[in-house]
Amino acid sequence: MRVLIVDDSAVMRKIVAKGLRQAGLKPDETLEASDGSEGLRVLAENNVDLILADWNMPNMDGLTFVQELRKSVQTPVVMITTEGGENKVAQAMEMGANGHIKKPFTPDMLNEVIGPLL
Amino acid sequence: MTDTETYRARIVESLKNTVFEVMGTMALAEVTATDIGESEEFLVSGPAAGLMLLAGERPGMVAVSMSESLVRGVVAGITGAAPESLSRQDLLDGIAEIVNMLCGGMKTKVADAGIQLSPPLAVLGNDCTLAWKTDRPTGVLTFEMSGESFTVHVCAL
Repeated sequence: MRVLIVDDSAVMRKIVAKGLRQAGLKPDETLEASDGSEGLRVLAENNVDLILADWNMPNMDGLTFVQELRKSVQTPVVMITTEGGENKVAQAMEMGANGHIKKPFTPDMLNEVIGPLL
Repeated sequence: MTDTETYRARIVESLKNTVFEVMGTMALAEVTATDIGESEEFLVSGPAAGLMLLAGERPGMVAVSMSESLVRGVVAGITGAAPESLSRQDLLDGIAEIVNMLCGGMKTKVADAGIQLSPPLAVLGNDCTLAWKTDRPTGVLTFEMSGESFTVHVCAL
């Protein structure tokens, strides 16, 4: 499994990667991008099985990223963010996200949302 | 108790509970609350601090401050990286992410308050003191973890 983690915080990218390993999902390869624009560039050159994206990022935020990538890519996208309000989650799903995980999260929470998408 | 006092008490309780969740769930660290006090000023001392502005109908400020060694330990715990491998940028990202998660958890617990959060601000440096000018009381929550203490400041108007 190849995973793309899109987050402007290098620390959060490491946290998510560690969470995936702890959840037993163990990606063969983890690609990283620091914002939505970079995420789209990575996807133009690589096929991935799962995308995990933050919400608030500079240059291109998570919502715009999902909206843009859905024009050509149908890979499952899960938003990982502190924005846990129902309206925000509904907005993300409307844009094409397949799931949402609120920080702080446990490996079980990752499994619960990501497992059915793989 | 006035509405404002009730709201502030809810904010403090929500933050306290979120500290346990974030440190326990993400860093797998044991945390105890050692003091819940109040200060007339919003003064935060480093060396590592993360701040977030609360906007919306009930504005305010939240800050977390801890030693560099503690933030290094927490970031190592939540990322699985070796403490000595963490760069200065990792520590800045880490303290920003900690205050981000604390405020996110607090916001969820008081969802009816309609709080909006700013992006986090991270500070790393010795002998720095950050002041937010306010005439309202500041809640100061002190915790202990790994033999060191850290504080969370919150001023909700």
